[in-house]
Amino acid sequence: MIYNSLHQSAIGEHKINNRQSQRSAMNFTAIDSSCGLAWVDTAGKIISANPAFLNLLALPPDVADKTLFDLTTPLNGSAPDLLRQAIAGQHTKTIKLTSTVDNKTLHVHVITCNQEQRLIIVESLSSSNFSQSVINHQAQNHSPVPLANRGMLNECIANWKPDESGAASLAMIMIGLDRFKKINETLGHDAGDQLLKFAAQRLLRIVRSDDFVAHFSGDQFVVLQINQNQPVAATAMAERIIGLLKRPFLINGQQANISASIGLAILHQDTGSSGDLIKHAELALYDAKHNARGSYRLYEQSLQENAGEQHDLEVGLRRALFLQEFTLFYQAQVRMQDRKIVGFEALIRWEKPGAGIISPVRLIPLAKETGEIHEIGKWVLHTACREATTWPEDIKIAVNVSPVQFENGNLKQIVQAALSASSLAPQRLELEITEGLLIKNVANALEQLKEIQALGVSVAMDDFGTGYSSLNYLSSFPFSKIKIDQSFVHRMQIDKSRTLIKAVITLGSALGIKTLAEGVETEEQFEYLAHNGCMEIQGYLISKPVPAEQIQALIS
Amino acid sequence: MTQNLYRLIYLSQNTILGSNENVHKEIEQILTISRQRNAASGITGALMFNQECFAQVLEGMHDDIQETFERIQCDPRHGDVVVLDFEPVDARRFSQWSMGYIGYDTLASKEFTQIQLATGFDVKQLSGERIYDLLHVHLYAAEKAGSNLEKIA
Ligand SMILES: Cc1cc2nc3c(=O)[nH]c(=O)nc-3n(C[C@H](O)[C@H](O)[C@H](O)COP(=O)(O)O)c2cc1C
Repeated sequence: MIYNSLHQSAIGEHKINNRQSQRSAMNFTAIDSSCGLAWVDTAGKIISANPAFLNLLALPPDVADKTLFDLTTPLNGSAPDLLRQAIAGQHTKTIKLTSTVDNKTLHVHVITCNQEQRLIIVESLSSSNFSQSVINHQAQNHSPVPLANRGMLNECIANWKPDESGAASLAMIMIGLDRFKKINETLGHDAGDQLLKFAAQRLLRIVRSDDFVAHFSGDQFVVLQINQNQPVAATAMAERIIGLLKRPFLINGQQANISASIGLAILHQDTGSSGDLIKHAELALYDAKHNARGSYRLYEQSLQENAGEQHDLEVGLRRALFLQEFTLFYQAQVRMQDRKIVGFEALIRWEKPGAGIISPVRLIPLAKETGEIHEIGKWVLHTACREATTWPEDIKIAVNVSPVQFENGNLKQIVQAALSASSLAPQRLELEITEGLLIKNVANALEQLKEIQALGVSVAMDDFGTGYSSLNYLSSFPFSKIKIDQSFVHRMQIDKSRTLIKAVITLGSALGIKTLAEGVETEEQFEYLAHNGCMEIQGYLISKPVPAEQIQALIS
Repeated sequence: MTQNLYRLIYLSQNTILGSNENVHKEIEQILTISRQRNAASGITGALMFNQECFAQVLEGMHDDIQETFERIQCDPRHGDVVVLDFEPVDARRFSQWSMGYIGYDTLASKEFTQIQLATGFDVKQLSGERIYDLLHVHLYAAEKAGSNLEKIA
């Protein structure tokens, strides 16, 4: 319950029509801050306010049964109207007022925290020390999301109390939008902002009026459940939220689909102090994302240990190069007409002592995250070029480069160094890039690719068909090869996949670009591809990736 | 671009529990609020119901559809929403209905069930165009026959 006995008199007892409103998220009456803080309902009725709020707006100590508008009429000009609009609306707004007390400028921030209540923060510009930067960020840099932010969330947690009936629980539901970065990259930041806004509105629609909803960071939201029956309430809400955010959004004339993963932490249930709530919810969220996107996870002690494991992996990765724990495996690429090996794709393998083989699916994202990808990428190029010099001259070596490796602008120098250190003919080296490279900063990426190509090195488009706008990219650069993603080959029994494969092959021959199909496992697939004019294949049908020592045997 | 005329076609699973009367009462409420809100935001369209599923067409300005759809999305009375079509159109085809309704015991609804059976309930194979035509044809037919569309069929 919101009032403690001390302040019951200050606010007075008043009836609130909506029973739920009585269970407000926070009691401000005891907050001794130079900033004014108040909860009001959408009609402007004051539910809870701290002394500074009353002072700054020159309100009487007894605001019982009154709305802000009854009380602030002495305020100048259009202020009451603006305030009324802001409170009725669903967006965070900042209104400037002039104080009737000392003529100082007041900033009044109106923040939507749930459907029925608004948080109001008043600061006098000369005395602003309440997380002003936070508010500025939120309200003035027009954050796309009309919600409370992290600073206010912290306040809310710090001020949490058991309610009158003795119910005492605090549950944090931390929501991470999966694939949000992809939406931002493919549909643009504008669409990303809209999506965040809609996601926030969906959350506001389904939470209880005494839940507290905040925008935690970029693609993360938090719902705080106060004094409810836990963990039942939190898990039920998590399931609802996951279901709700999975539903399509309509943005810029298109359908956008995302999913949400959720981490839950509950005070006094594995989480000892409110200070650990955020950390534990984050760990649980991380685990949920890791295991299965679109799922939720309740924090428990063992997650801490897993986090330790992740940490070990990170530290291990930093040392792996030095300790020579990486090796390259090579997968054959053959020409269809006579099944002759014409090249090998180099694939990295990390054998971590005590942990076995770490899959590239884990290794590469981690290397990108930690920045280790640059050094690792350099090592791969040098090693692949060197090992390829021991093969017959008509066999090429293909090396994957990640978009991150283009960021420093020195990839050409790195390629050049690898070529001259190994004395490999540049014509034998092929770089495989993904469509992702050409999404951000296209002009710069193309520029670098052209310089690399000028060395005599060829460039192949990898994983074709899995990204976006691929067709545009094909005409923007003279690629030597298109690699059809294995997912299409695996789903070849489906009409759509076959159509796509055929289309790519046709397109390739029209543009004079070679086509290679990845992941070919059966003779039937081989036959179909051969019949339709695909030129090269790679896959288990020919050979799995093998260590360098086994290459001679494969060639002969 | 966002000021253009769009149409949205989606399917969803009915999650209203209880007796037939209860289901009807809820649908009646949905229709009442829809007609009110849609008229206010310039949206026209039709809703079809066949016990298991809803199929709905909404026509209007991009942003108005967006806003309405976001409200509909949060409605606990249905789930598993699948958007079949969201695209710009030249003209409205449901302009006389802020929300026409085709109930479960109508011919159209039975045809809808047939289509679903034929596609093995795999919504990805359902064509938005087909649902669209079905709704359109039957709404007109019902109107010609003088049946009262404001009521639940
Ligand atoms: C299948 C279905 C179709 C609906 N169609 C509409 C509609 O076309 N327009 C509309 O305003 N509400 C429609 N609703 C109702 C909304 O979900 C929502 O209850 C209503 O718009 C009131 O929203 P509010 O309570 O957030 O103001 C529909 C609900 C369901 C379950």
